[in-house]
Amino acid sequence: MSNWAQGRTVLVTGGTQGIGKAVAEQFTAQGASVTVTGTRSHISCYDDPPADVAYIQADLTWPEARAEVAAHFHALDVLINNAGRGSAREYEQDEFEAVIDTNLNAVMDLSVRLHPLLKEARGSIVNVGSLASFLALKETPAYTASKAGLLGLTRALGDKWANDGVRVNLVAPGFIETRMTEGARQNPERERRLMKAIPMLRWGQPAEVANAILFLASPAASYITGQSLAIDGGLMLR
Amino acid sequence: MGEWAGKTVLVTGGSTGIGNAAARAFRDNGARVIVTGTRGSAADYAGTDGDLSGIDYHQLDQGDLAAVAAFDPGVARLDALVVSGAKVAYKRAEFVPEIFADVLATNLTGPMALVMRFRAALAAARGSVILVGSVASFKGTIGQPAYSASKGGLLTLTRTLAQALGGEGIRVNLVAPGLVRSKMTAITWEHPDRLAATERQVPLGRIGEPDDIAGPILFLASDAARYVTGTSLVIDGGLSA
Repeated sequence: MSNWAQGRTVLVTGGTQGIGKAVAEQFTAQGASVTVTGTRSHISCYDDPPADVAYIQADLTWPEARAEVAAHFHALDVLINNAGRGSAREYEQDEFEAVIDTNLNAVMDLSVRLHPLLKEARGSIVNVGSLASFLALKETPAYTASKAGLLGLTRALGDKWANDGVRVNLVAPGFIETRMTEGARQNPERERRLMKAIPMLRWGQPAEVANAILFLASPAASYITGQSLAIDGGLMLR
Repeated sequence: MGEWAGKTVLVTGGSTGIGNAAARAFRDNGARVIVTGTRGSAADYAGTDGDLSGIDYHQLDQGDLAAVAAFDPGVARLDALVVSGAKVAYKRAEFVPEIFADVLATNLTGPMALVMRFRAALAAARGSVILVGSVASFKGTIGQPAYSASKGGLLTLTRTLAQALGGEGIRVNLVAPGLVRSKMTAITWEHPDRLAATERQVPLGRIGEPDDIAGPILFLASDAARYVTGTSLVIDGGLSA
């Protein structure tokens, strides 16, 4: 399994922080040529960005940005659709639609744009879903709908592109220690309640999700397509 | 090479097919590997797809509770237990209650007994259990009521044991292969028309090989999957997507 990524071209959207950053770092460590996207003007605008990656500024909410990102590539082996966001205003329609644009419409668009290159490489796509692909997060209806939609998209694209040798799978992280979940960790009462729901009784680490993503992208998973894998310390068992 | 050096792995049904592919993969990565099979000795597998070189073989009927309780391959610490042994009966035999019960004993009660037999050794190593389910864990199989009931049972057993044993540091996961070329499925793939009809339904356009399942088993058993428990991973070329 080791070194399969050597010399491969990999795109990780939202690859500057959290899970995306961990994925970028693991691919880089294996000798892949990694490009990440982020919304800030330069990669140095992030606190602790991954090293040795190419950076493209792009807010994937916008179709023009997606076209621009796709135009950067002449070859691509692995696409990690990781960029995503939630919002405190998801019960307002404009924000609901904007979150769906970022988390779901952008994934479809970028995947379709890059499909010819992935087909040429017999490459694969890993979408970063969430436990919200399966469960309700009632304060974030757009996030929940987009991540559940991503599960269906994974299945449809997995079936559609199997004949091209392009595999499409999804990882469903539980509560992972990232900036997105920082709020919960700063509230001891909320954190205590969350941890009670997790059989392993702890937060997951970004690297633990990255491990699963690299596995699904690897030849070890060559007969797996259209599937989802939960990395949640057992959270969804309850 | 060597990610599994110094570690011990037990694979039931490890003499042929998926179990043997997993056993070989663990062996090739440096593990000490013990397998069980139904025949008297390793030599009895000459001429099969099984490769038992460098692997410690034991005869065990995993459907026999007394035999499982008495089974002692001499491991105080077990890093991975892969339960791959299983049986299936064709030609409507599984509609006969006695045969139904016999299949359940091997495919469901036996795996539970094996996990209990090695619970302490798994806890000592903070090891993990991989149960080999099937796409029949999720769907009916019209001619095999016992096989599908047993594999469906393994799915919820995986979830329950993950909850129950998580506190001991033992992870429990399931792989769910689609149609894989093995001795057990020969009835399907040896017949050219039946094979072609099956392969037309698989998005990736082919039936699985035992090695296709070994990689996912190693991943789930490895430290890379240390936050993964109670889950199932379907390996079916997209058939159920």
